[in-house]
Amino acid sequence: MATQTTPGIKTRTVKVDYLARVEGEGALHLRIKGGVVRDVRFSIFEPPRLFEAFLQGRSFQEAPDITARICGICPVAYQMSAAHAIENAFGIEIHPAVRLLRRLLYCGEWIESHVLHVFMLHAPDFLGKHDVLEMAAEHKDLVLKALEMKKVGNDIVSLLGGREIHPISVRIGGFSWVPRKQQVRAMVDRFQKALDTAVATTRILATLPFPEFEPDYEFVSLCHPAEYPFNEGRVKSSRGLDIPVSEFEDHFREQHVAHSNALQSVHLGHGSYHVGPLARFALNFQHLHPVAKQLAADIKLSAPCRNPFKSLLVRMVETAYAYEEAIRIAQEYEPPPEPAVKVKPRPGAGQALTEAPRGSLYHRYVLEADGLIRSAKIVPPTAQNQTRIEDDLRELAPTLLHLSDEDLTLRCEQAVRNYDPCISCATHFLRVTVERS
Amino acid sequence: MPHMRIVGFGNLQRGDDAAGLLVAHRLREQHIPAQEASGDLLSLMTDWTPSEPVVLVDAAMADAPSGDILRFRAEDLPRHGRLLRFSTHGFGVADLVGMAGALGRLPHEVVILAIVGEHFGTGDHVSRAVLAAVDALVAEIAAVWREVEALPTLGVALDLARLCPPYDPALSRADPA
Repeated sequence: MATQTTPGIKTRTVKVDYLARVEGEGALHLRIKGGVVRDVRFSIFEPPRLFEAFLQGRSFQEAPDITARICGICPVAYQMSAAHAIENAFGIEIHPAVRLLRRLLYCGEWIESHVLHVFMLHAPDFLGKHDVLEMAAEHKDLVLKALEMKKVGNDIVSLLGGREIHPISVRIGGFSWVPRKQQVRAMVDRFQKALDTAVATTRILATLPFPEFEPDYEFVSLCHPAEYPFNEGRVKSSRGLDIPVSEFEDHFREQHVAHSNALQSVHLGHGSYHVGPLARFALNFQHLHPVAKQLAADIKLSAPCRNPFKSLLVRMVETAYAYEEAIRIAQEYEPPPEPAVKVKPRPGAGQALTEAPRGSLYHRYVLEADGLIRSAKIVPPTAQNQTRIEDDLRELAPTLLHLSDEDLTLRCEQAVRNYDPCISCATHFLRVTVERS
Repeated sequence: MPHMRIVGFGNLQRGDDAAGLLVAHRLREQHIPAQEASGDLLSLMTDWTPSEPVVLVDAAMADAPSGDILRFRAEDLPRHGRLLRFSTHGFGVADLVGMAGALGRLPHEVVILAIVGEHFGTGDHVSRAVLAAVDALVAEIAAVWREVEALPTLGVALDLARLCPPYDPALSRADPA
């Protein structure tokens, strides 16, 4: 981090290069003039990766594996949205046991991703540490417990997907392979132990100091009538939107802005919106399992929670839910007669929106009669949250002007990290510039 | 029989970065248990115990000819860590060792063998010099493994000096790499 100050004082510039703890390459620029925030730009300068273009002309069966490569942290989300969208296009009903296994696979990814973000990337902010290595020196037990919790998530994804990152078993109509009943049942004790650890560590995290900040968000999430959402449901918002996934593009639009290589989404006629753990928690609280619900009550976390800094706690409540859901599934699971139902391609379009750890992930495919993909559209959660991140900074920065440049910059970075932005899994750089006039 | 953990790191899609994975794969072909790690490195240490020596094999970018094998101990990492920071998943071997140390999970003997590469681009081939170094390291590690396997009882101290000289603080201070 470098701080450049021009006394005098017309312009002050605070600059942080190469900050770890976000996924991918992004930059943040704030211009503050006369105590007013004049310009906020959260820009993503990673080059476009063109996945939608090179899906064209590929077989429908390749979509889950190709799109999984978009992200090393949430490949399951890409596989789920791709599989469900194409199954919707072909009119395929998956076997109930396959549905259960897909939920279990998603539990594994939520655990991996949430525990990684909470303990390795986000918690150091609240503990005044530069990174998890520094944090480990002082909070050894907490970090060890986090690694153990995360390993359970890794092992779920490995069991169902063949490996812990970029699993390879998801296919249209089901899986290429499914585990035996005993293999899944054997994990119940580990799930229970991890659930206990999640509850204990969340109680510790709840004692951290959380800044006061509560924007009036429009939360958007998938909502299922009977379950905390993973794969199916309707798209709902905290301001009354209630639509089928097939109408998503009628209400949400991606737009290009000059300062970013990623498209930014808006809710048409409304503006920015918020997807992810806070949105799911706000709109689906009633479907949490008992331990997660009690944990939220014990740490005085009620729905809706509008403080983005407390997303750290909401992620832990969702992690507890994921362990509970994994226990339920492991106890109920009976293998399907076949790993996948037979698939007969037909021309048409299909959409799906599933809940990645960071928020809603939308896919749409147009398919030819022979099963080749004519076009693909992918709207990831971080693109949807980008506009909202800028709005958060626009609201937050004026309340922080009394802080030193260093502290102001740190708090702004933290505000970005609240969203666990997944710019890409390949690199970890965020450059922050604050200009004060 | 004493245990020795062997872990190879890398990325098969990034040219010479595959070196560690290739070593582990070739050892497994010889029925020597070696772990291929290209995913979540931090979780590896949850199974480590102080009494089990660990051999970590990775690729390195260094100011040395391609195919050279760098050998050092965990204690040397403050000096050499920058060579091993290039993981495509954020946490590299140096972070893994640093974190294991901070958490009290660092085995008493950690040997790091790093093959110097030259091509790390997406889709690059593994260079010939690196493939030769992979062959050499597989033979060396396999020989040590077979010696370990032949040890008769628990509690026998393993000597990995054949793979890497013991840590020498004086050398560490003299050579800033």
